[in-house]
This record gives sequence, C-alpha cells and structure tokens, in this order.
Amino acid sequence: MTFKVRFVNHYKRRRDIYNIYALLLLFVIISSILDKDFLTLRNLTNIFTTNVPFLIAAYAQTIVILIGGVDLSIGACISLVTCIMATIGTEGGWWSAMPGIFISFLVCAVLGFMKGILITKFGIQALIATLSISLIIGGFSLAILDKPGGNVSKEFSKPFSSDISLFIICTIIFILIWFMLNYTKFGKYIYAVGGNSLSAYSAGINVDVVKISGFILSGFLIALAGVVSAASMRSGDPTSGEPLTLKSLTASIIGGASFSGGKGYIECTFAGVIIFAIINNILNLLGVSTFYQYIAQGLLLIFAIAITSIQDK
Amino acid sequence: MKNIKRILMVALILCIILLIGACGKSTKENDESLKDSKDSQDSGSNYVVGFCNYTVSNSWQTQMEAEFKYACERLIEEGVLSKYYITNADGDANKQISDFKDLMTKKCDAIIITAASASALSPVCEEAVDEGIVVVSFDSLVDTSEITGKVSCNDVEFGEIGAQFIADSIGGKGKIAMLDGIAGSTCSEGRTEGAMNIFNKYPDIEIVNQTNADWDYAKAKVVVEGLLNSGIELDAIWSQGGAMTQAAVDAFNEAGKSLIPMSGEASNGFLKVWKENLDNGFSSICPGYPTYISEVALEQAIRALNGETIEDLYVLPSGSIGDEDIDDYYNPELPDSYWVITHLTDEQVKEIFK
Repeated sequence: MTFKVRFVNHYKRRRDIYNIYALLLLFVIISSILDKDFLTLRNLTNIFTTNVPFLIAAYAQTIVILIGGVDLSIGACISLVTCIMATIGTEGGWWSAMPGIFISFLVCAVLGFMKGILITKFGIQALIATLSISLIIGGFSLAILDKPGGNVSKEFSKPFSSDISLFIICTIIFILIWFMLNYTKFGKYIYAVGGNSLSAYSAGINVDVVKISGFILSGFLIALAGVVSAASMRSGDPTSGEPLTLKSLTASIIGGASFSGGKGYIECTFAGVIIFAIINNILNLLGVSTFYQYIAQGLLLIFAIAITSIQDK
Repeated sequence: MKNIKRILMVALILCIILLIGACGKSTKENDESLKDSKDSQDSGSNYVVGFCNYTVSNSWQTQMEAEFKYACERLIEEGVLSKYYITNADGDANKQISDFKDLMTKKCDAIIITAASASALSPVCEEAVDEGIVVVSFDSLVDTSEITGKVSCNDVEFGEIGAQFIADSIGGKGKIAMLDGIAGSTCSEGRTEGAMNIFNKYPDIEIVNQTNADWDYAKAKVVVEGLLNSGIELDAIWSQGGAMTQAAVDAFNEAGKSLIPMSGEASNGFLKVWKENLDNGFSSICPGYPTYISEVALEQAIRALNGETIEDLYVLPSGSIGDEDIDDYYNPELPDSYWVITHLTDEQVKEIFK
C-alpha cells in the first residue's frame, strides 16, 4: 500500500467519523436550544444510562454487519438472557447472579456459533438463519418465563446498573472493541472478509472461521446487553428485547455501517445510538406526541442511508 | 457536487426535525400561556403531571389515553394542573424506562404509569418516589409496593365473569374452547387464570382447545373455523376479547351452525354483532374495563398531591353488560372500535375515531 492510498483511506475513514459527530453535535445544539432541561447533567446521564443495552446491542449488530451479515435475533437473545438472569440465583448477595451470568454468556456464545455455522457451512442467508433462530429463542424465553417477572438479586443489580458502573462497563467495552477492530489481526480479517470474502479467501484468510468467530463475539456482547438489561429491570421479560433488533440495526446504519459488509466503525455506531436516543429524549421533553418520534426516526434512517450511498457513489 | 448534495440533505432533514420540534413546542407554549391567564384568575395548585403510557396499539388504549387528555384539559381550566405530558413506549420496556426518566427531568409532580412490564419499571418508579414524586400505577401495574398508589381493573374478575356465565348457560357440563390473548401478557394470563378458577369448579366442563389468538379477529377466526371443521361439537366458547368473539360468531354463521353461548368484551363492534344475533338465540356477557381508568388514576394522584392519603390499591369494578342491557350501551352511530364503558361524550369519541 503506497503512502497516498493509505492517506486517502485514512481520510475517508475520518470523514465518516467527522460527519456523524458533526451531526451529533448539531443535534445537541438544536436540542439545547429547544428545551432548557436538555443540557442538564441529569438528562444527559439519563440519555446514556437508559440506553446501555441498546448501545451494546448496536455494537453486536455492527460487528455482524461488518462481516457481511445481519442479526435479526439480537432482541430475542437479549430477552432470553433476561429470563435466564431472572430465574437463576434470584436471591442473595451479588455473587448469586454469577451462575446466571455465566450461563447467559455460554448460551449466547453457543447461539452465535450456531448462527455462524448455519450461515457458513449450510449456506443459509444471514437474514433467514437469524430470523429462524430468533423465533426458536422467543419460544424458549416464553417457556422459561411466560410473563415478565422473576427476580434479579438486588445486591447485584443495584450496584451493577448504577450510573458509574454503566459508564465503566461502556468505556471498557468500547476500548476493547475499538482496539480489536483497529489494531489486531482479527479486526483486519473482519474488515477483509466483510469487504470481499473472495479476495480475503485468496489472501489465505479462513473466511468461515472469521465469520463464526464474529458471531460468537457478537454473542458475548448480546449476553452483556442482556445482563445489563436484566439488572436495570431487576427482572426478566420474555419480549423486552424485541425492539432492540431493529433499533440496533438502525443505529448501526445511522453510524454508516454498510449492509454490503466491510464498512462501519464502532465509534460511528456509538454516535448513531446517541443520536437515536437524543431524538426520543428531546421529543419527550418537548411533549411532542410519540407518533412524531417514529417520523423523526424514519427520516433519520433515510437520511443516514442516503448520505452513505451518496458517499459511496 | 457531492458535498452540495450532502449539505442540502442535512439542511432539509434538520429543518424537518426542527419543524416537528417547533410544532410540539408551540402547543406546549399555548398551554403555558393558558396557565398564565389562569394564574391571574385564581390561584390553583398548578401541578405538572405526566402519563407514562406503554402503548396505544389498540383502540382501548387510544380511548384510555384520550380520557386522560380530556381530564387534564378540564383540570387545567379549573386551575388544578398547569401542564401535562404523555409519553408512549410502543411496548418497549427499555424505552419506557427512559420515557419515565424524561418525565422526571420535566419535574412532574405526579406520574401515572401503565407499564410495559410489571417488574421492569419497578426500579425507576421507586427512584421517583424516593425523590418525592407521586407515582400511581394503573391498568398494567408495576410490581412494587413502594409507590404512592395503584388503580386496577381486575383481570381475574374479568375472566371469572365470562367463565361463570359460560358455566351457567351450559349447565356446568360440556365441551368448550378458550380464546386467549397474547401469550406472556399480564392481562391475558390474569383473565385466563380467572376463567380457570371457575372452570376448575366444574369437573364436567371439558376444555377441548385453548389457543392464544392475540385478541385478533383474523387469528381467532382461523382457530374457530378449524374447530368447526374438526367436527368437535362445542357447547360454548370462552373468549377474552370482543374482536375474537366477533370472529367466532361470524365463523359459526358462515358455517351455518347455530350459535352457542360465548363471552365477549364491551366494545361497540361486539355489541353490534351481539344485537344482530340476539334473534338467532345468541347469548353473551361482556365484562369490560372502563377506559376512564386513566382519569381515576389521575384523580388519585391529585388527591395524593393535595396531601390526602389514598388507597394502596383501588380496584375499579369491571363493568359487565348482559343480554338485557345492550341498548343502554350500544351506539350505532359510533365506530366498532369504540369502548362503551367510558366517560367521554359522543362528540369526544367521534373526535378520536374520526
């Protein structure tokens, strides 16, 4: 790679990030003009902390999109994790939640492995494979908890879902993923496989292994999102995760991730989630009917996709 | 060129979003000016209240939200309230948690909530109560005792009313089918529990089919048609939703079968079908949740704000309409989706369902 090419790539990448953060800044400015309660520490903390499961789910979705896939089972997996958390080790000190967490991570990793196998070894389209998995998991969740309920130990959930620990968790996760995608071989493989799996294959990358590992990694993130969700709800809910499937997809795309794979950045997904959250927040603060929230979300999505496709031309 | 396109696009979208925000803002400012004019007339208490709704996915919820809105507007004129907010989470428990926190940010004195999930919203409700906010949960209740008060309609009672009618009309003996709501919803489980309380007392009642038809006309119709085709001779159908009963009646009529007793729900559409089929010997009962439950919750919240002690749990009696009461409730001029046990005037209902 010559210096020039590298510089252009670097510039392109920076441009995507600058664009989305400029948009985020605009949203913050407009919102703070529109409502005086917006730019308060309390409100900004709320925007962040109430969207942590969404944020982590969006990271999981971004990784899958990067390898050229899509995961429609994220929401169902998160619901399943909340059900597991709310039925295993429900009473006692903070350690009582540990078996639930361990099982959740195990289950999500296995599910990720299965999704990867279905897509790579059986050649099923990601859309179909994950949709079917989502239905199956939805059934399992209802079998574990037929209605919202159960209990997650208060000694665990209170400190775990406190503002400070959510900040710490998000920071660590962000740094880990960012480092992995940018500075490890695996991260480069992910971009290579998503960008063009044929040339990645000819370059000697084991495409299937990268894809399966991507789904397993995404599984770990989904499990974490579920654990955070269960802790903040202090209970399980067999359907609570469902909206996160589409939301995570939307946020990834707002962040500039491309369905064709190989394009997308974790820092952009973060901005996508926060923009999405700000729209809901500001319209709530203004007392605007929820119906307009959907209109705004829809417009934002079209806008984000249009921007990406104009840039790709 | 690319850049110009992009900048135009950004400008356009921002304009639209600003416009949406501005529309909302202007109506709220009207409210504020209304408040100011009221202030000069009388010194009301001027509370700010919020309604944290979880969905308006069906007409009952639409009407229930409207009852809250009209009640608030009345109270604003009376000087009791200065402002009200309504949020809607579209069934998403996580969004409802952030909606609730947004209402706290807006410094609501009282928040009434119908929860997407009984347990998920409990922590945030407790947090609000700790900050001195009055929290009244109603309809779909939160699962904590550490809130100001609750107002409920009893799902179990709803199920029992219908089931008792079924048991009585078939003489405590026979084959019945059960049409349930959405699997996993508190409401559906509660109604089914009520029905089972009654049916378990009658060993000769055999439940040949129990399906989650999701309160949906189309789904229920498929189920009942399947049962008719299977050749099972049903003696009665216990249904926990008006649209599902309507579907069952239609399926029976289309198959040319004589109608059997079925329990319903107090919607105008179901009353219409019921009235039309009275002559065919159709008999039913419809328990119904009053849509003004939101108004009752608001009144409880205001009583609490005024320093009165309110009941921990106020159970609003389920209304129930029998064969002889149809004409008192049925209104042919209003749409099918209108719920007849209401405080709204006909004009207000027409306004909502226009």
